[in-house]
Amino acid sequence: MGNVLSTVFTYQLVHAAIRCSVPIIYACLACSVCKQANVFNMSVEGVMLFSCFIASSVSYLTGSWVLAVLVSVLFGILVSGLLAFGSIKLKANIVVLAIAINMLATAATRFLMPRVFGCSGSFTSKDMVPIPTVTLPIFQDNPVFTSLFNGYNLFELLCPVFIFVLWFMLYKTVWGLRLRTVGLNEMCAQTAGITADGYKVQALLIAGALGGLAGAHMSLGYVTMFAENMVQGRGFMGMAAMHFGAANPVVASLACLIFGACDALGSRVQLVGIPSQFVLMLPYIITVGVLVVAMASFARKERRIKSAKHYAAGAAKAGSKSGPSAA
Amino acid sequence: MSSPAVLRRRKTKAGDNSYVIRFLFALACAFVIAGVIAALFGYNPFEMLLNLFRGSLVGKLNFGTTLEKFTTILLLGTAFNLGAKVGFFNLGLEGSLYLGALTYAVIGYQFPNLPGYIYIPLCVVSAMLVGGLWGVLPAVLKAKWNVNEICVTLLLNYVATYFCTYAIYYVWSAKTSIPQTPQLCEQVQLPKILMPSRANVGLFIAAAVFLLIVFIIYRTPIGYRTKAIGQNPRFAEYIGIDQKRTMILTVLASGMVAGLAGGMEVAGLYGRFVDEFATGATFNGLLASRLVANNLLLLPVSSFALAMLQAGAYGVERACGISRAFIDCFTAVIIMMVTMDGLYDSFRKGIFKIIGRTSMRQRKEESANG
Amino acid sequence: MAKIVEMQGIMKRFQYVQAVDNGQFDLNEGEIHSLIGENGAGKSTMMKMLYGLYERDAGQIRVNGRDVPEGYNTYDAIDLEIGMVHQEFMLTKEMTVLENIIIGSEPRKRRFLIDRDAAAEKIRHYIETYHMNVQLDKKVSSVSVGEAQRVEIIKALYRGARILILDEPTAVLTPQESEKLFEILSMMKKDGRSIVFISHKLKEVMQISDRVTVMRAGRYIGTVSKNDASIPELAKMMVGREVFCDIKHQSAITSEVVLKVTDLAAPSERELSKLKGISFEVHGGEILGVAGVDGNGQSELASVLAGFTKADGGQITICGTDITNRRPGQVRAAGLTHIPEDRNIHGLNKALDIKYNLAAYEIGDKPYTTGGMIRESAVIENANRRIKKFDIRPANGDVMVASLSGGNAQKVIVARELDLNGKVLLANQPTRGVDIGSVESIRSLISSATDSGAGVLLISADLDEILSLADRIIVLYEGRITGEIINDGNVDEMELGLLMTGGKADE
Repeated sequence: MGNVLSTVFTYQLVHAAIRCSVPIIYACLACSVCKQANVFNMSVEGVMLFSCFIASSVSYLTGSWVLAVLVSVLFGILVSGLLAFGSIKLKANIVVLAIAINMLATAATRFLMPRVFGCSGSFTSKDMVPIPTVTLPIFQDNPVFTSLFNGYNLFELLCPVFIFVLWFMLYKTVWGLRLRTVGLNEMCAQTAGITADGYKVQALLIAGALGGLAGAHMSLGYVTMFAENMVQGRGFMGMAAMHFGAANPVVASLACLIFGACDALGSRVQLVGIPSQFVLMLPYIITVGVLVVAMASFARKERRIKSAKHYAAGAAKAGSKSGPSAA
Repeated sequence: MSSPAVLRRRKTKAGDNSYVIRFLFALACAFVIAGVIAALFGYNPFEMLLNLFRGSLVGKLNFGTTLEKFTTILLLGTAFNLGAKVGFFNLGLEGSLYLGALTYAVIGYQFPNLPGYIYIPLCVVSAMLVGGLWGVLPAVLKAKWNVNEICVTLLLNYVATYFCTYAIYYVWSAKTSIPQTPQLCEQVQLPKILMPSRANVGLFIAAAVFLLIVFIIYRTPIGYRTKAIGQNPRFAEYIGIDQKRTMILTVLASGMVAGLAGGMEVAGLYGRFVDEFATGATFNGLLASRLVANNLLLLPVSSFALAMLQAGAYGVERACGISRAFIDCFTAVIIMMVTMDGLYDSFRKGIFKIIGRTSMRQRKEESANG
Repeated sequence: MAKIVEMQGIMKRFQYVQAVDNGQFDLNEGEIHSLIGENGAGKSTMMKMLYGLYERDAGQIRVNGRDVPEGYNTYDAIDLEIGMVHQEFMLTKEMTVLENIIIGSEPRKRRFLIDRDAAAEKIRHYIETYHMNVQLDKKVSSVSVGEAQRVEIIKALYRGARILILDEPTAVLTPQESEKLFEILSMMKKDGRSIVFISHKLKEVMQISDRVTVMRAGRYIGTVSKNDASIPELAKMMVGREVFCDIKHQSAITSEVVLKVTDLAAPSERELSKLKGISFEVHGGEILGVAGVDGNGQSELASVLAGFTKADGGQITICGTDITNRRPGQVRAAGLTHIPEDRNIHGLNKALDIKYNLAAYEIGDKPYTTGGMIRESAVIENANRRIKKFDIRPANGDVMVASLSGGNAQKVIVARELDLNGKVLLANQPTRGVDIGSVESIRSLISSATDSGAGVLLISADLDEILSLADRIIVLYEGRITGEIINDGNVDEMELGLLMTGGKADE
């Protein structure tokens, strides 16, 4: 047993957990910014899959990861723009439209894969240039430090920056105040002369860019390959994390770390002979579990704020005071 | 005898034909977009369309394949629709379907000596129960703590899928080279109709279930209450309908129908549980229901159209060499176009004007119309 | 005096109603101009068009002598120095008072950031000029209704409003708070600001306005200077005839207690609206009026009685049956019938027609359902009977309730609930937003509900309604009962007003 634990829980687990959570964090940021504007964005999953494909093919064809990231971010904005245009201007049901986008992503990448890579299923090649990894020489001598602090790629290192920037934009700037007002009370925003739809579109476009980044990171940073359906519900996990954090990027990102840790834990548990299917389903179960716990505690908190229980205790006294004075 | 209320209401609605025009316009848009894209890839869109129809309607095999797909899609559409009736976006149909199918497959090979008239109901009922119980979990979470059902159902689908894969690898494996359960006993397999296709008497079971649900929804107080929750939940609460209970029971029914769909697939098509046989099942149900704006009575039409698309995809693949994934793209484009309610109106006003700020002339037109 | 606003030939149609038909209005600089009319007369609609919230179908609006263009919106209105305080406050309750005031025209520092200090300073200027007491750092969810209204006024001033539209501002205020508001308004007038005051309370209108414009059923009736006007005359212009509701409730009160509430505590989002241990009894044949300014726990009381929310303490019994924390269905089974506060949210299922709304509660019972199947003929029969008995127009059960006028929609609810012959009728704001003709008939129906020995709990913010119907009146203030008055016909309104602000009847 001790042997099993030491195989599973090593300092390398931390490294793996962080790496596993980064794609979910980007997805979660995309969902959060939309939720703040009261837009339910389910299309992050599809946007990510699209950009996985775009990033890997651009990198494969041109050999430039910078170009790959740029193109996939632009494409993410484009797809999100379609969702914005369809749901706001053309009055489509946003959930159904987003699901259709997700379907299209699955089908279109499967359709295009043989045409670009000449194969189906999954594809990897030496010509696919990944996002560079940053190695700091000061940690190189110590194996523990190296594992903890080195070997992250650019977008894994930039992730905290993105979280902070988004948090700052939402809570400290004029733009954020307006966006949140649109999300909390649209009529209020409108009577104050704010065009609510404009802010919703902006939120969706930012989510598109973040989703594009998430996809590019997945296929060129997290792994260097493209596979059909490689996003595997990470967009939905990001959505769950967003609910957990009540759309606050910082809190929601913490939830993503939990999910990432499960993911990483799973691949280590596999080493000690637990069937891979259980390992694979673990992150989903944990995600649902965390979500339920979070929602239950929200519900309890809300009930406590609303409660008048403390008056119930003193009611007999108060009642006797007001009762007779009435008659 | 007076004609049923439902039918009469449909007639008055049909008088307002703007819905039909909108729908046909959206469909036409989808066809044009798909045609242009097909042409860009160097295929002949008209040949593709022709083969789509031929591959789904002409010949016993092709038509039978359409009916086979129709059976499943009709059931899944009904299941999704039931959830939608109580405002529950049930994206967990896939999980219920897989677990129902697994239940049918596992129970179906255990007792070779049980007579079919006991055995089939046993399998069907247990498949429905398992599917229903799995499906009801998110509904309970939603009722109790208001947990977003879309998130939960989507994530639980993965859990169910992995569980089934695990089960057919390790627990109830046929020990063959591909992961699957042992063959079902003869008596629980459903007889085929329209050989050599895989269409089977499951079609009639699905039709019967569909009709039963239509009857309950439109002609009984249970249906009245169920619909009231989707139409105005606050009113339902006010008038004394136990919302949470009704929602949970309706989602239970939704999961049961999805579980039945899984059972039918196993009993009629494969004769055993094969790995990941129904990827995308949830979306088929959602599509079928949304294509007709969640109108249960029109569900067979949309289900049949989707079944034609899917069956025809094989024909297109054989005849033109276009991969089936292209038809899936096409399906996604159709649902996109159909769900955009404002598409037709925007087209009439001119697509450029709605992008920018609405022009003065157009506003005048609007107020003149209003 | 210069006319700074002129509106002429204004037309506005909503889906089923012509809300404004050839409307007309003008405003001089530095005056208080009242716009009066019954509910649904089109007053708010007119002003929402001036504020750019609704688009007019036809007509001309001139501000400062210049035509406002087509496609005129709120943003343009703010540029023209127009501000509006809406009947339902446009405040985000999760945010602070300061954030709510500055939203949309925030002072900035370093281009993107909010300059809170500059904002606070600017706001303080208005607070001091007009002696308005608000706390800038509090969340809106925790301030009182009166304070929220002051926040709305500051919000408009902050945007530089010289023309201020107030939509029924006193509906949510006590008489004392209203007095304070009038003082603020007069100060603003002295500063040269122009004020549009929408109301249907004639006494207040006579007290503060310079001129009065009357609207009826969407039409312009006339404008009179205050000096040439009198209350009866205005009332006649408003209603179109010289009738006032005056239904006296005459019913034998039995000794049976049909509704008994003991030490009830109930939750609420707002601290002030929480019920903090209230007790009362309703006897058979009696109408107990619950008076009070909106937001003092009335909605919470109705919600707990009907079983929508769970009580935090105390007990509710109907004819001896304990119904505390029972589900709405069980409460109804115990004998409660309920005319809800908001007919569009709770009272009606707008996806259905009149007949199915009328049969909503009993749909599962005989004769509507036999052998598990709904019998439509019984539903139609029932609908026809109730439509006739309660005079619902149009008299056709197949009409969708969404297309009914406010009064007739309310009658559908009244018909359904009264015909159940329950033991207790909970009537919550039963005539809010209803035209005057229906008000009369709904009030007399409620009055006659007691003939069969049922008790009525009448919650209303309309003092006239309470005074004309109730046998006994209790006053709710901040979730407590501050007093009880027997309605013998000579109740002093000022005394009631005092109770509504938390004072004691005998002080």
